[in-house]
Amino acid sequence: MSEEQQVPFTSQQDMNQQDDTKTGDPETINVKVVSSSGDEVFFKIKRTTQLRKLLGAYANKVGKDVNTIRFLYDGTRISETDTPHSLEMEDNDTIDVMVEQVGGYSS
Amino acid sequence: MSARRSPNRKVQTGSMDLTIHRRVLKECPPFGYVCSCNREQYLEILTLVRNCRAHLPFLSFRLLSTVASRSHYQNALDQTFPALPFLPDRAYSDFDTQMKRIQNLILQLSLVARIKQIFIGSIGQHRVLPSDNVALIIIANLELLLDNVQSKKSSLELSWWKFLDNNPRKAQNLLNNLMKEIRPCSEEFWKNLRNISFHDFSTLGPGRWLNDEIINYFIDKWCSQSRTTLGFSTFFAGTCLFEDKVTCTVAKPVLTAQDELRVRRSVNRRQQMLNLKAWDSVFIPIHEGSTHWYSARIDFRLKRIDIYDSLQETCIINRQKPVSLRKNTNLMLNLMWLTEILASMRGDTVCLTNNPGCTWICDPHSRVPFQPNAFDCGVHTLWHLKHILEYRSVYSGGQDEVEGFSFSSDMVGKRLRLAMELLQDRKL
Repeated sequence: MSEEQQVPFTSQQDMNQQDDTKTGDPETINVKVVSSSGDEVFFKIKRTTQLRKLLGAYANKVGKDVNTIRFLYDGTRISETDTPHSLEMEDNDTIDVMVEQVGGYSS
Repeated sequence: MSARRSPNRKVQTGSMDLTIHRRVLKECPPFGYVCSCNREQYLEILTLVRNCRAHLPFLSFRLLSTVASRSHYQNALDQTFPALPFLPDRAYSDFDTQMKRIQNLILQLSLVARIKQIFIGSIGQHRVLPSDNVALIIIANLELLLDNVQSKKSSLELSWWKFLDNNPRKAQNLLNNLMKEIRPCSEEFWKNLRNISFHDFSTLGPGRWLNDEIINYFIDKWCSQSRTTLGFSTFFAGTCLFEDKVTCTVAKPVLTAQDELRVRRSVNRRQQMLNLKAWDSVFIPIHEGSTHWYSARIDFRLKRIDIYDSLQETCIINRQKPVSLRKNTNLMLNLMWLTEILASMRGDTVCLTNNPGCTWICDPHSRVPFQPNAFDCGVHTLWHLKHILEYRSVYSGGQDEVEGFSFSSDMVGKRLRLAMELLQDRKL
């Protein structure tokens, strides 16, 4: 259940250079977004692009409202203004997606 | 210092020479002559005193310019802010009015710190004038006053919390009204609170199940203020300690080097986020089976690992079982593994496995106050953290022992407190 996805906002130039990125363009990294049920979606993203765009693209893809899901990197919530650069993300790193948790009693 | 030795200095004692190292003296009643270099601070002090007098009519220039002791303003303050009778029908409006006045006063008085800093810097540069001494006394008095007003605020809060605990129905009405009042607010209303929307806020309502955003909000806030406790997010336990990150029911049976790496990365990220450099205790909220909140705590000072669960059945039944059959035994083993990793990250060595000489205490079903209902476990979980931060462990004692922080059978008073704390933070 995994598929490769070009983030729609990466510039045309980047898409043309897809082969270069495969061989390790330092400006772009591959990010794996893993849902709570284990489904994976792959994105290619510039290090300086705000992750907000990736999160929006993911939510769009899985058909969920971006405000109802939580994106975590190393267990910490990603904020809208974070970039792969600001989070010091590395190539092939994982972003976890979690849904709302509620609790009151053990069933 | 070099300015003092400057040959251009024209300080003359005896005759009234109006320049003190090239600075002009100006009149600033009621202080008399002041140096122009810090005249602005004098004016600020006067404005500050004037603004405070609006709340505290007893405040006079004369009173402030006499040396006072800590309890000096106590009586006057007690008269201005009398103890509230907390009559059921107007308890909230009385409390709210008095609290707003006190907060306003604190806001005014906290300006004194900045004035003091600039003022002290300036008097180092010229010979001290009599007016400077008076101003210093006034500054010290304003600081004392601030101290007194702050303790007034604490005692007002405490009596309000006790009132809420003793009147759960009243607290419930207030909380319902608050929810109704806030519901129509736009998204803009919530913009100062990271990740919180009305949907999240409404889970604090009476009888509702708390959601992760609310729990994470308070863990982040309280732990970053604590300087001692590293609080994880509600997603940590699922990813690092359990087999299924969503249900969190079965503890991971095998822990690998990759799991250790994940823990280390989470801890580093978390320390950074909470801006905690040295911590000696760790709080882990756990979301079980999509329906229940409970928590675990590792304390490196007390050398303890505890699992706190507000469900009576879980605690009582499991405490009677042999260790190997208790519900949380496997989770405890994973927490012991986690403790060893965390210890090495703290620059410490803790060995809990196969170590008969080990002095650590591991309680998989610690005794805590129980929830007598089917909705309060989230509030209990936050209150576990509150007790850890206030008293280092969860305290099930009566109201007198843990003033204002005791667990109550209905936690609706705490819900209102948390809701009010959130709304207060929104204004910051």
